[in-house]
Amino acid sequence: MKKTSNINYEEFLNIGFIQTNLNEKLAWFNSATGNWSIPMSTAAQSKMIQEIQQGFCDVVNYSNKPQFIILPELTLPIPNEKTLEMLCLASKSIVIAGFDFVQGKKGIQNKAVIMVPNQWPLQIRSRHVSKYYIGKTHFSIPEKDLFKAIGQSEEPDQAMYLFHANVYGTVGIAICSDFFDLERFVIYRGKIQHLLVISHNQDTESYYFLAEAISRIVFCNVIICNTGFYGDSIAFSPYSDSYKRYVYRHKGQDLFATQVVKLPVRG
Amino acid sequence: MIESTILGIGALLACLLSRDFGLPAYWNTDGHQRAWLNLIYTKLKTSHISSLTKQLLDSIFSKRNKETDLLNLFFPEKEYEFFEDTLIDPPKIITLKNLSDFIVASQKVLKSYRLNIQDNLPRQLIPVSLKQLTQQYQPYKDEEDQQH
Repeated sequence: MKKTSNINYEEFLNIGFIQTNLNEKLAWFNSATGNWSIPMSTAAQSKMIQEIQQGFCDVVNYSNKPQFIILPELTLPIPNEKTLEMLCLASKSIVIAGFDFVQGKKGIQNKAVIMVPNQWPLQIRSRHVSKYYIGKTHFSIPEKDLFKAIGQSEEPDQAMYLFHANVYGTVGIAICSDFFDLERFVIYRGKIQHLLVISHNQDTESYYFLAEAISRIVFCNVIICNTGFYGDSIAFSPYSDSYKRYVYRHKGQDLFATQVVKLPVRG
Repeated sequence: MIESTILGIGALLACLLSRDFGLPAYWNTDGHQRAWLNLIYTKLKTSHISSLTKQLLDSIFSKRNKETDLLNLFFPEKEYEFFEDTLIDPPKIITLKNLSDFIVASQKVLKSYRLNIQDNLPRQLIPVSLKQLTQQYQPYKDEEDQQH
């Protein structure tokens, strides 16, 4: 590969976290019948959209405007996609959010959407939003159990993505248990500046160790946005000064939280 | 003639990418094919497309490019100059050679991002430019490093 970078990278990239709080029993378990089902219940849907709106209000009021706003996996109810588009236009930043489980042709998909307002990265009013859908490759065991309880199977998406964000560097995205996909890091190595992971993950401590390891192996910033129900959203950057490396870590369970963090882009 | 051939190849490419050979029904209306060109994006909504392939589709199905051509047709005498607003438009595809050049360039990038590791199964990395998802139809115009 030719390495003649003629891009003047920005010094920092601002990322806004909206750590929404979703209880999986509220979302996919029907206590009256004792069955699991998709999509998420209406109670969970209205809770989610309320928290998303609250989160956007918080994030855009920070003094440093975020270029990216990330939401956890399994956050956005499918009927509320349009609401998120309007919020994306209003916030003038790229939004990455995980969809609720989607019924595909062959099984259940786990998708995320990337919404780009048409004037990004300028802070001027955009008129429309472009969307790009990505899918999950490796499903976790609890998910497979859930699909088995519903009587369906999973539909993985084999592709991996590399998002060129021009002056803000290159971004790789993984959905939850794709973070354990070794091939992904082989191919990402030396190509990306930021790795965004959106997750709905119970085992937060192992993700924390992995974030540090991957950050050194791939040499990139690792940003994990986990659901507030389990907590522990992380931003880790491979600075040479050890005290600078933990940019952000939000511990504690059953919490709704927002934050804007500043991550280095240039060398 | 050559224009409709390019359009046909573009439609075929879109079908292959979305793995579905149903084309928009609106295209069947005589004389309205051009008006509904951007319906192809609805078809490709959930497909995984790299930026160079999208650039190719953008230029085949671009209404702006068609209008630019028509503008020269309607105002052949250069009595006045037009303001140049085609800088962010998709590149023009005029001949079949142009088209094949674009396809080869797009394939080359995708090939360089493919690898087989476990069980020799292919994994494909798809490069996507966020700039292209905004307004700019030529994603790598001023960034040579990502073109290879």
